[in-house]
Amino acid sequence: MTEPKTVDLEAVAAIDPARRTFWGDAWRILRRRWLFWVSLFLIVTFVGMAIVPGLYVWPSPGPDDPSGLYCFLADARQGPSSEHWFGTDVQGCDYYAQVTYGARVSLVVALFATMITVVVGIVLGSLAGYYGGALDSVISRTADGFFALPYLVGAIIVLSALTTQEGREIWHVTVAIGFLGWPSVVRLYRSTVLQVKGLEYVQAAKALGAGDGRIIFRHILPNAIAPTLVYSTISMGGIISVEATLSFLGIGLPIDSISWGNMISEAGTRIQQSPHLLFFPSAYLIFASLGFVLMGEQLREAFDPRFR
Amino acid sequence: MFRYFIRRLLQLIPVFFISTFLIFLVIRIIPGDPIQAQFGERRIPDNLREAYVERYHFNEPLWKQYFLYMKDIFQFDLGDSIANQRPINEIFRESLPRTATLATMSVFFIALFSIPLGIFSARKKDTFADNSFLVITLIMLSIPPFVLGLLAQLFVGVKWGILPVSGVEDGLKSYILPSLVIATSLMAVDARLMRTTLLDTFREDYLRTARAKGLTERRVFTVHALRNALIPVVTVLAIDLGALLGGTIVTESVFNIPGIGFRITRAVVQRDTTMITGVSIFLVMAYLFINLIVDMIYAWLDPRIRYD
Repeated sequence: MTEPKTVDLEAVAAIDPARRTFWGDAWRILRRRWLFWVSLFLIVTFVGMAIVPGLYVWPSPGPDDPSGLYCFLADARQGPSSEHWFGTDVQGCDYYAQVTYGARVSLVVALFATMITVVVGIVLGSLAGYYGGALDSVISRTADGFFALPYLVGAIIVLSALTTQEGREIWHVTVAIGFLGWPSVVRLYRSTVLQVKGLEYVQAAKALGAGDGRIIFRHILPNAIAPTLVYSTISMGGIISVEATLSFLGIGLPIDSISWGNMISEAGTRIQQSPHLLFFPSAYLIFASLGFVLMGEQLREAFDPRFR
Repeated sequence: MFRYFIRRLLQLIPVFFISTFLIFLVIRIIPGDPIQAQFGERRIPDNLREAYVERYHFNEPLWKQYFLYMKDIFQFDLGDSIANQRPINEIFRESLPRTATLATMSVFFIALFSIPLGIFSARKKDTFADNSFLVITLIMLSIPPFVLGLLAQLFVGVKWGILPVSGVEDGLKSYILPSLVIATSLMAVDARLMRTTLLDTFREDYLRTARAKGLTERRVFTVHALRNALIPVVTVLAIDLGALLGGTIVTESVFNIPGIGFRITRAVVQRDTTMITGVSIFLVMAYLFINLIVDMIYAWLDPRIRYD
């Protein structure tokens, strides 16, 4: 026979019952896990880099070098040194500064593309899940149609349609990635809506005469958003590498934009002479992506009651 | 079983048409004249232009173009590549075996690594080894395949000179390195699936029954647990195979393997719209076909599914 576990009554009493919310529980689980702190550190580092690159690169760009990238052609393609931590690139620019400034484009594309997928996914997922019927069939079959197309092939098709004579812009790539991403969110969100829709409190809201819009956004959304939040955090990481992959294939960001994908793809042609040009942007790319994927994993476990 | 097959087949039909129409529509709105794109600034001979217009019905309304195109597709004619001035079927006869070899070899490596790794991690659940397994798989997921490909070329191919790094001149040997690269980036998902399904199986009643009968732990594990846990893993391996037909684009570009993925990136650069349409529609068909087969195998292994 095992001893019954003693309950610390004082500790139970100390928990204010009103504060034991779903999110509060998730936070209590998260803050005990070291992997959560690692991923948070990675995310904060890279988001900070994207917003204020000047914090990471100093001294601040002078008037004689407005690009702020410390380029001196005479120093081209040096290996890492104490003066240039990551070496220099083909144009003699300090590679550490380049790689740091590259964070912005990558994260902006990932953030906006994720926002597109989440907003479109939640709106269509709500419609399909809440109303069902013919509307559900149309939305779900269209999503299936998107799934049948390999992701990269889809991106290739959409990007070739968006490319004009003037070339591509950053928003083209963002829209293309968002356009292909929404079906997964629709599938996920629709299934959570179906689960939540039947619960008593939704029935109660209906009986009290709440309109459809109010039920969908005030009652269902807060209780169905968690899996989508997990998915979109993980997909932020995925999009960072997809964007780089598209740039590598020559159908991604414009060549003159400073991004990790462009740096890696250019380094690929000089890989034997200057491997450091490949190594540093790749490492940043991998760690940025890892930060979001790892965070998503931690959130998943914190939100999932089975792990509690 | 047959009725289930018919039902799944009927479900695929709308998906097929939505997906192909989507491809067709997006590619038709690509700016510029698809025929002129092949000739740059030069004038196109009138008879050549007429031949293309007649072949692709460019002068018909869009819905009719799609209808006539589908008619060809159902006669296994994918059309002509405008840039190469050859039937796409002929190009496929060269490229498809290369992509198929690459995909099959990759799936072989995925199975070879992911199954033992997943078993190992499940048996060591919650130990340091298991946690490191989680982090390592996440890192592997975060490395974009083209970065891994470039690094593999640099080290294995150029510095150590173990395996060929480019082209297909060395026969099967030239596929080893690219397959290993694909396997490394995909095996993480499969290995983790192996781990979770095995852990789920450990909790099943029939395992307790097997132990109660006095079977050795070894027999319980291999015959009762592992065999059942392998079902979803094998399914995912089959899905990998389908996805890889269209998913080796990046690796084929890095390693210069003129397979299907290589062709489609080339077609984008050449603005060869008929080729892009043909290849994408073929990939959709391949994906749907393999998924149908996977569903059938699954229904055969688990009779509950077909009476659903």
